[in-house]
Amino acid sequence: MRWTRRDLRSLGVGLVYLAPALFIFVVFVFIPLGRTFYLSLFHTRVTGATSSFAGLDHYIDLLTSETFRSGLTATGLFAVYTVPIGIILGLVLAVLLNQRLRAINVFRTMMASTIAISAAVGALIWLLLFSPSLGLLNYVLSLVGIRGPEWLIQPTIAIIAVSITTIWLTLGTNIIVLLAGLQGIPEEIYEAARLDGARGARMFTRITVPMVSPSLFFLLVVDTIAVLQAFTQIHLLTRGGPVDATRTIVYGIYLDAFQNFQFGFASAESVVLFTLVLVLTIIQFRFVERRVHYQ
Amino acid sequence: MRKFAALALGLSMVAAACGGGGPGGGGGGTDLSAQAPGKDVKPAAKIVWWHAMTGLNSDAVNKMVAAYNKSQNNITVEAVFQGTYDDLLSKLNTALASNAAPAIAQVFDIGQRYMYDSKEVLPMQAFIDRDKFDTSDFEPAVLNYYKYQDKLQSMPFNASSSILYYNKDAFKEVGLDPEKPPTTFSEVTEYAKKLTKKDASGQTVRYGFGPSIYGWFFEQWMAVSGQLYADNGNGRDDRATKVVYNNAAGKAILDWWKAGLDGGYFNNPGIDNPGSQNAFNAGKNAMYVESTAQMRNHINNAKFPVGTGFFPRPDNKPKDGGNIIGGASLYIMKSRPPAEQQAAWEFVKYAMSPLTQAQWQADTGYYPIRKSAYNEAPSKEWATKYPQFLTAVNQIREAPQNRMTNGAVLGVFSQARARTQKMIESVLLGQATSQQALDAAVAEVNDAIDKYNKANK
Repeated sequence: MRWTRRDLRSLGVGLVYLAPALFIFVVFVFIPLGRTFYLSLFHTRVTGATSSFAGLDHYIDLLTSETFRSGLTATGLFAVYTVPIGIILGLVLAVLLNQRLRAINVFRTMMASTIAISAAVGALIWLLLFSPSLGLLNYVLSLVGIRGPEWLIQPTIAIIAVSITTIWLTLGTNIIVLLAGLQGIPEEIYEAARLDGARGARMFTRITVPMVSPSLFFLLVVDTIAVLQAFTQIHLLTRGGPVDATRTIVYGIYLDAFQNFQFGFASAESVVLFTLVLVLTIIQFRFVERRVHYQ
Repeated sequence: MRKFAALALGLSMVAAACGGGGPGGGGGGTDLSAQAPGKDVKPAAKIVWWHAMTGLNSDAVNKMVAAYNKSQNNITVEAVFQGTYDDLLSKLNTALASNAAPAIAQVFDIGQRYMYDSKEVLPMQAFIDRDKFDTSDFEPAVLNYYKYQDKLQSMPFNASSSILYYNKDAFKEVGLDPEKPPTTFSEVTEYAKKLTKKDASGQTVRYGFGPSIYGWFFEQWMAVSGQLYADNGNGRDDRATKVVYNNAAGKAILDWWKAGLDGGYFNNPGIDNPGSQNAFNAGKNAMYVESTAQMRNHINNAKFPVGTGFFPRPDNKPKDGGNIIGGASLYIMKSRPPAEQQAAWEFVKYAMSPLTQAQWQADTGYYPIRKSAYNEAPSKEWATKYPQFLTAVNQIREAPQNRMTNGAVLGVFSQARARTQKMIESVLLGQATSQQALDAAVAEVNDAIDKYNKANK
């Protein structure tokens, strides 16, 4: 296709409209991204200044390091514990909240309220609940005769504790998105199905789920990315421990950059994480999106 | 007047530039006064001080700054809180790159080597030499901690120490003498057994001893065992090339800790220091170890009389063993104009004056850097009110001064400390034997030291 003068002019006009957004993207995303890639090829001094060319050394160190592999495992576990349960729980609650009841808005507001709570505050609340010595959660459990686990002390439980916190934090958003999706389903479809003799569970799997599948897909992509980038709750609850059980890749990047001051190495980790997120998102779009029903 | 100031500033910049040409932070004996701005440089009207003090201690910082600003008309100091010590250091890093650094930065104890290697510090020794500033009544332990090759890079500011806190009521309840805290590992274990209390269902309602998993404690225990943490005299005779704590002393510490936990009379509060402080206040742990900086917290918030004792040591008293000091010091940044550095020095001198130090002690619980502070009224009042406080000072004064008790200096100290915590966790959780855990931690930290030393020659 050849560019006509008109095409060029509309491209120019388009760029003018896009300019503010592009400017922000370039300054806050593309330049840092390029800089990160650049830094990942160098050894750095404590101040972050480059000292000598490292080539692919950081990448080789990274891919052969035990810590990075355990970081991948932690990230994977974290995603598996968090994303599906968060979405399913969100869907169940959204269906319940989609009923026509008196004062349903009160319930809707209550259930979606975690959206208004910052991750830092949420994580601190859960820290008080999980606290090894004085945790409220285990106290309540002990009242009904259950001896609660050492939430933040045992590695296998700590990742679950962080996941519970994360699910709780994302639940509000999930409910709102899914509720909006549910409300977009035309009543006639349900009526038609009812006339054809469809009932409860069948209606749910054959109509509700396919009709909200765009919302479900959206949440799958967004929640996965959010989990891969989760930081606050890990920082406040476990600082990556015990014994690296919650040292996800993002948390590892933080530790290497801002505790260990190895900016080159941390940049290499960031590039790997970026690639990982990109590949995962492409996979989700290629394979999962096929099953999404757009109206 | 302004013209004159500009001229003086210009001249001093030339002087500073010439002085800066010499060998930076060189060996002992040399006078560093040439690195400081000339005595006639007029101090800047306003400087910024970054600090990392929270809660009561943050109020004390603001109080000190307000008092200074009121005490004279030439310099206004603005204190800016920058989050935790770690946060402050990362922000300082960023600020240095964009020429937005403060004139004074408060950096924690273990950031010493990092600051030195950043080459962004105007050594405090330059001012001390220039003005013949007298440090003879400073606490030797504190001075020794912050000296590198006999030069002070920074001015010690808030000094603490780790001690044993115990619940006197619990001691009485189980028939222990509330005035006699345990001093050795075996005694702590023995006391902890007695202090542990279970309810009818077998749940432990009070543990004897509950130290949080904090790398600092392990460092302290190595020092009271009379052992080095890193080679080359703990990184003080020359840059450290490896850490050396995977020895019998390191193993003894971990084995003692693990045995207490397995026996059910030690509690593991994890890495959550505030959590373990609250657990002590709530009577959940009858004894634990923490910084002296928690003294006010415990005295104000615990519902029982709080006792303090020396940091527990191995059973056979090691002759070279003693506590290392903790806390932070003040750095004057090299990239600021001489007028600001001059003003910064004026404030540092004020902060070091006996009365300011005494007030600081009374407001925070950190002990004074200089001994003459104890003659001032606020300090005397405090000592009568909180006699427990003397424990920390006595402990520091009783420690023999040597490379072990001077404490380690490492470029990768934050990382080493975090790795030590992981090591302790893996032993307490039974994932590794103490020797395996020590060897693994040492190997990983040494690798980090290697990388650091290569990148920061």
